[in-house]
Amino acid sequence: MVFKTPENRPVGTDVPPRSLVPSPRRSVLLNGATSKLIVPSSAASPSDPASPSSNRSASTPTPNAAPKKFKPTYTNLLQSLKDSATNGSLTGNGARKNMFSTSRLVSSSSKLSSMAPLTPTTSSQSSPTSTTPKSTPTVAALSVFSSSVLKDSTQDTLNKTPNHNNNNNKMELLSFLGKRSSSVAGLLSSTPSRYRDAMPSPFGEPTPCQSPSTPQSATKSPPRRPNPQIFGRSMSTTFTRTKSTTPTTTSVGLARTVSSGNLHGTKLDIVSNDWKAPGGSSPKKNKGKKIFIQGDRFIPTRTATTITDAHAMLDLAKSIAMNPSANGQSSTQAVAEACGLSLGSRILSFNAEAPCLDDRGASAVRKMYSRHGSFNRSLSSSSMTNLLMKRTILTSPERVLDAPGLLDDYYLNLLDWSCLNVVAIGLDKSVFIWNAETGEAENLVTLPGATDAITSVSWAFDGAFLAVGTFSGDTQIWDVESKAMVRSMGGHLARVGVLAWDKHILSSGCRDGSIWNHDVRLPNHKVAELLKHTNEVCGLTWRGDGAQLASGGNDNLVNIWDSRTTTAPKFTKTNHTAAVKALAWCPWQNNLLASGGGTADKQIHFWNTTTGARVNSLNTGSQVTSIVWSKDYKEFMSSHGYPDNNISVYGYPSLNKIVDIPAHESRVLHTALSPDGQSVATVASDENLKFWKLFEPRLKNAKGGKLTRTLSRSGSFSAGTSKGLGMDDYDDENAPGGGPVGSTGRTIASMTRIR
Amino acid sequence: MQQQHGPIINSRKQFLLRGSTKIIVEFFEYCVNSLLFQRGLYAAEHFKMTKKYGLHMLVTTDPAVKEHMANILKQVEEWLMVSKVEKLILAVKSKETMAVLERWQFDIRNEKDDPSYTDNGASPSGSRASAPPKTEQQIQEEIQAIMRQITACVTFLPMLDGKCTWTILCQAARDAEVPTTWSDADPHLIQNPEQVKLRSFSTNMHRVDAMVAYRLRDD
Repeated sequence: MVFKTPENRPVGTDVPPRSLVPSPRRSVLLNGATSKLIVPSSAASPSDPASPSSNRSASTPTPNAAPKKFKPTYTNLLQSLKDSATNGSLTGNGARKNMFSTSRLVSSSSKLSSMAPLTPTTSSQSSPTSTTPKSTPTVAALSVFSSSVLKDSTQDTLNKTPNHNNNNNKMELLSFLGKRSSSVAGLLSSTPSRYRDAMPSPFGEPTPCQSPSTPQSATKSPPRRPNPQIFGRSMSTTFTRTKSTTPTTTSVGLARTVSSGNLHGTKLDIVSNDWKAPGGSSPKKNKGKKIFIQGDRFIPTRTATTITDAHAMLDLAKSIAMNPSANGQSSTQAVAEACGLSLGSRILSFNAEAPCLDDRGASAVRKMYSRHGSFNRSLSSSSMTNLLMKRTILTSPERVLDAPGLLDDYYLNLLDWSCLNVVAIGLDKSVFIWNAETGEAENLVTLPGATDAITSVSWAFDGAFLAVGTFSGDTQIWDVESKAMVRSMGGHLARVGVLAWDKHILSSGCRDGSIWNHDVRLPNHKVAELLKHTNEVCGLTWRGDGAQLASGGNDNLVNIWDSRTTTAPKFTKTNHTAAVKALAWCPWQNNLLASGGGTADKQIHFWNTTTGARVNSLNTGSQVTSIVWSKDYKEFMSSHGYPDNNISVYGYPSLNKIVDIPAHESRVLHTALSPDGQSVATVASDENLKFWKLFEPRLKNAKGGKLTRTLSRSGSFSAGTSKGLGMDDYDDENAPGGGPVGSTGRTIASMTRIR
Repeated sequence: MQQQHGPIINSRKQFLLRGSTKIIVEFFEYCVNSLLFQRGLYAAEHFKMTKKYGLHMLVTTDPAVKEHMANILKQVEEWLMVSKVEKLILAVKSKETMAVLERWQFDIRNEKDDPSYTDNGASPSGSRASAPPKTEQQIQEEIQAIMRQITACVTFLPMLDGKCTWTILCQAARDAEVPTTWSDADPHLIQNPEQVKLRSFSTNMHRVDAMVAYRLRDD
């Protein structure tokens, strides 16, 4: 620091104080400023007799504010002033307090124009001022600022002028400082009023009181030391300047200060109290520290970007709402973006539902009833590549059996084909089963009641049990092996027109519109009642994984039920305008359901059963009686009634018609797919049961021999191919060669005749 | 020189991706397990306590649930490895009404998608003032914080009355390869939800933001 040594004391030179004549107001402010500055400079306490130390303290009034931290701005300066004031009042150690009080007393002493005795400190301070009264304004300004700016500028200048008599330099410095000091005064006056108001109070109206003091002081204080004392001079000059132009006044003021030293104790308290209120108040301190409370404790990571993003999105959404037409095509996208959705992504879920651990005990039974193959088997790549190959489908039936006595009722479901390759058909009061492998047929069930009739048949998944629904409302389960009824589950008030299995759950659809879930293992079999249809339920089928149940009824509804909830269907579809009997789940896309409407509708709708959306529609031009999906091809078959009584094969999702076969002479009532997925059995009200090889496996060079082998391997039919795929009518009893096909045809025929 | 540089950087990225994927999948697994327990989707006897992330985590012991979860996570991992996953969502639904009651959403973002990993030395790594890679310890601490928060969430989430089930959804890129065991699903959004953002964590590749949305009891 420049001012460390007394030799450097440059202010001892003569500078006319007139050159810097502050207005009374300014002088007050400057006083305030000086006193503030001086407050924390503990070294300049009266108890410290060494004048050099007091000098240093005056030049560096804020010991805790490192000079290098200062930037040459006035706000910083101001801040430092305030800080210093607060520090002084808050720390309040003895030295500081003393210093503080001296500064006060300098001004207040003017009131008490009394004794001259000089304490060492004050005398040392006062002496230079008396000798070099003209330099005081400069020093005053210096003490006012005491910031690095001024230190740098003025002190450098002062250092350069070791000769204390160089007036010219001082004049320059003076003018420079004068500008600065006035600006500081302005700054100070712009500080909050409480500071300003507080400042003069400890000084006790200095200006009016000074005038009487000045003459005395001039006489009383002789110059003692040549060594100039900045602090002392600064204090005195600020007051003297306003009152008188005599250079001696300064020393008087200081002398008074000294003389009032005995009052320090009391004065100090008052002063410090006065100062604490404005200066020591917390706002000043906080201003320097800047405490930020960031974020919300409940929302830990909210960054500025997300908020701005949100605003941007909000604006975007607003703009869309304001002028939707302007955005035109991209509005959907914009809305999606604004909502935080991305159109470039899709939401996927694992097909399998979360396991339910409540019925864990049933796992053994469940295994017993579990189906053999998975419907979800993925299509092999070879079949995918061959998909585009031309399909050739035989348009003639592979086999024809007689089905006499078949009830011509669209709402019944009388045909099913088990996984063990056994076809079950309900003919009036009886159920016949025909083993497609051996060609044997037999009568499984015959109902005793006079008015009773079979209304539905359905194979359990293991093919060992057959569920039979009756006109009287019973649901019976028959063991095929022992040909005995396992149990009969009553309760329905009307005929049971449709049955569907899911493992151990047998769902039955009744004419009154109710669907019941029977747990066939339980004595109290009815586990759920699905009530939504208001008319006869004629279509009912479980999805392959058992997660959903689709039902169609004569009330033109398609209901999709979730297996875990029975109170209401997941979706209810009202698009059909006629009874919905044809329902089929797509084997390769789990959530795709096809539903076909009756005579008045003629439509096939395709549903995404996860979202409930209709994904496709097809007008078939005829009543849809059933739909069968192919397992190997991306195709499905639909059977129809009036006018053509045809069966059609369509590709999916292209919905192009691959083949259209006029199959029967009257409407096709029921269909069933063979377990190997190649053949479809159809039965119509013309009492014919026909087998169609619609989904023949793709084979390179599909010759007869290979075809035969495939057939025998798959076991759908016995080696009848050797005889050719001609029709075998049941009337053709005396067909030469017989063979299994002929015999089976006869068997059923004979059975029916027996009946 | 550059020919050598490229594969090295790519393999490094691959290495980071694999590690990051592993962390995220593991986090998600423990997270789901924890939620299944915390939200009472399965009875407490189906869980066992293990030490993970410096916490006692509850993991299911039921083979069916384990298998189900493994199936899902296997696919999620595959998608993560090709950076196709945008969100992972655990939806808790009522069995009675199938209404979505809670929706735990984990946004996954590729954080280090800057070109310096793929660029063949065009921008020397030194020039980019990147933060040093996170240590395993740091990541684990972040995950631990989320886990704690999830556990704490139980205090303000409404009671799940009635039987509930759950579904895991994966919001994947449109061009992601989807096996037949997965299918498009509806987003399981909650109408009028109350949303609480949870903590985030980031690996050296990904950043995971957690959020829970739940339905207020309609009084």
